[in-house]
Amino acid sequence: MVKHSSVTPYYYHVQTEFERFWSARHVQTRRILFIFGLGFDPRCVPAFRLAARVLSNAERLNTVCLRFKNPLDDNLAENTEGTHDSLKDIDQISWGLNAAKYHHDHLEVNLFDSKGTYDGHKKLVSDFTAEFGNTLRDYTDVVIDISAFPRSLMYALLTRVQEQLTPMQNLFAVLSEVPVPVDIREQGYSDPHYIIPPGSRGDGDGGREPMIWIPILGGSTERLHNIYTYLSPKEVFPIVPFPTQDPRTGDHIVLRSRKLFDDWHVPFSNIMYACGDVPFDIYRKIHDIVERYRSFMSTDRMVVSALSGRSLSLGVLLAAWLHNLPVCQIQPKTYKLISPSRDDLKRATARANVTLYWLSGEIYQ
Amino acid sequence: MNLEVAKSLFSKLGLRGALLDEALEELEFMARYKYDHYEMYAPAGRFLEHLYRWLTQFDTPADREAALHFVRNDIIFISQREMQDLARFLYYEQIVPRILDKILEDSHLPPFAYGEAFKKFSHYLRRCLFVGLSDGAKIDFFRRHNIDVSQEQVLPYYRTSAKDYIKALREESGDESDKFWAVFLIDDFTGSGYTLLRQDVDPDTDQVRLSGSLERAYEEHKNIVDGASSLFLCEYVATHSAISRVRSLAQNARHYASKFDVLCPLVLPDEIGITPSAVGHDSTKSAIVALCEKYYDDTFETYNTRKGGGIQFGYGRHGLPLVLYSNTPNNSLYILWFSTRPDAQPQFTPLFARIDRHKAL
Repeated sequence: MVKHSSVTPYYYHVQTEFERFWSARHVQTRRILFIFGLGFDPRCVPAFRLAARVLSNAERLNTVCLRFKNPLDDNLAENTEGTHDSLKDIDQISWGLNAAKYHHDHLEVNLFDSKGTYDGHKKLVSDFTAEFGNTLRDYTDVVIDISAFPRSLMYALLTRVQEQLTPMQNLFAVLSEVPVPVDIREQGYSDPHYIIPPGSRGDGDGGREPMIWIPILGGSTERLHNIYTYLSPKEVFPIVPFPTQDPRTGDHIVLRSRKLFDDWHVPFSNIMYACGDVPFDIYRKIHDIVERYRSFMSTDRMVVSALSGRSLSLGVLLAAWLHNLPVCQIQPKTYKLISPSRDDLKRATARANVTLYWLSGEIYQ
Repeated sequence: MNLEVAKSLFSKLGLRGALLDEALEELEFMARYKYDHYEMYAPAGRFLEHLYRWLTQFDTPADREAALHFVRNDIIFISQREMQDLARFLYYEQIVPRILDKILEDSHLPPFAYGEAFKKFSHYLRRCLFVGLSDGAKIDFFRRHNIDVSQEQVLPYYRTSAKDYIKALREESGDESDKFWAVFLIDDFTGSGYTLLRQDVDPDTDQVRLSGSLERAYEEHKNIVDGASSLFLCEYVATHSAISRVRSLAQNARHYASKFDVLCPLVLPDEIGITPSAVGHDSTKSAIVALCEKYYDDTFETYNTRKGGGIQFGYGRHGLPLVLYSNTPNNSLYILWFSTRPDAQPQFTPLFARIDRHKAL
């Protein structure tokens, strides 16, 4: 049993409503960069709409719309139509902003290269750095709306931005969630790959095989199996979302991941729980595992993967940053919205909750 | 019971083969993961053995299928590990932010200036008193896992005196008037809030008065509560309706009104309840309601249970499908937890037998 002998990072943190947070700050003195991903999913719009209202009085507001292109998408026609519809909404919102203090940019990112190999995260980082890397220091606050980001792109961009900011510059993630269940089916996967490779951020030579794998369970079991096979870890500490709004969610996820326990013999006692809505709780759980193993194992041999929702994925990233952990992911080639219909989902975005997570900056100094 | 034995035994129940195989594989897994650790179970009498006995008492294969469907799809089982995790989550995500907000308020700091507020955190934390409201409060776990909390500010049970705790605080700070600014009353579960706070009519005066464990806690620690600016009832698990009810009733208690709030890491939505009025057009839930009606007998009630509206759909008609690792709440459907005496007629066998803290008269 580990006692928390001292204050750990994120012992305190800010996770609150986007509007509540900015209403309590003097935005007139802030220079804000707001980055968001554009996609077929209409949940990419609510945070931008709110930002246009709440942040419009900022000393400076720059927005960057990242458009992800995926020629391997089996559902290309439908998804492109959805993306165009989202774009119309985005354009309409940005036209209403004060041009003197406002600037808007677009950046297109191809997820797969011409041979069909997934390299979108690398492409995003290099293109973003080329376009905006030199100006990041000009901002007091960088806000990244992760609502429509594929996980690997979200990890890559947040990591690059976090590395480039000074300790007193603030980095926030924002997530829009709707009050209806959303089922998006994934089809076809890239090969598993490291978004943050072993040894790339800290100690360790990066050449050794992983010993420990910490997956956040959820989503497709195919992804779980593929990453497990790729890593062949010696020990697995699965993290299960609990507590969650639906109290049975964790049980459903464990049941779906039965192979992990029955075929790969991961003991149930290795399971850890972390709240499905609080990434800082996930961070804390991963921190506990790392602290227990750190004295006899280099952190580059402990690999983390998020197979679950975006909020939990954010917690994995925080742990990777603070403990120099490699992150292994897998990228779906096709997304298809199963339910509700796009029109119903778009209507639901009118009631979206937009949550802000303060990841780094002045509060933690 | 292993899967092979279970398949052979359960095949006598007249259930459809494919459904039974799928259900047993799933439930045998869940038994290993969680259900076998129910504290009322013993070797050779764990989940699958209880499930078999429980299913045999339903007359028809259709009733057994409905019961099996209920177990697979509706039961919410909170394991000991999950409960311990709720205790941790409560501290980090609900108690720490309340303390920081108090510092912001007292120090006139701007909202979210947590970095600045944290400089005073240990001073404020030491002036919080944590009190166990029941033996399910996991107060030992709460204290052991939160080393920042001193042993001299955690009272295992509310009926013990806190006099030494105040003395220790004052000796430590050298301030004879030092006091706890917040009291956190910690409990594992509330389904209706009735045990915590209720309105009773005084038989002598006919006046309505508040009673329950929150009132008793106040009587035991009057000086501390009166001197504190905040009092938080902390429930690891609670129904939404219980929280609303207790919040509302606490406003009628002069000593709590201005300082009371409820913290709860796992709030169960009222929609999980299975009662005749709540099932609507859901055919699988209607089948559970039908089971609760068909196998219920008036002799299952006692004086106390009748007073609470009967057990058919759980105490207070909450219809909960909830099982806690240490006991099954009486707010849950009786088919989960109720057992008759050996000589009673008709007989009923529970799936998760309950130890009753509230003894029958």
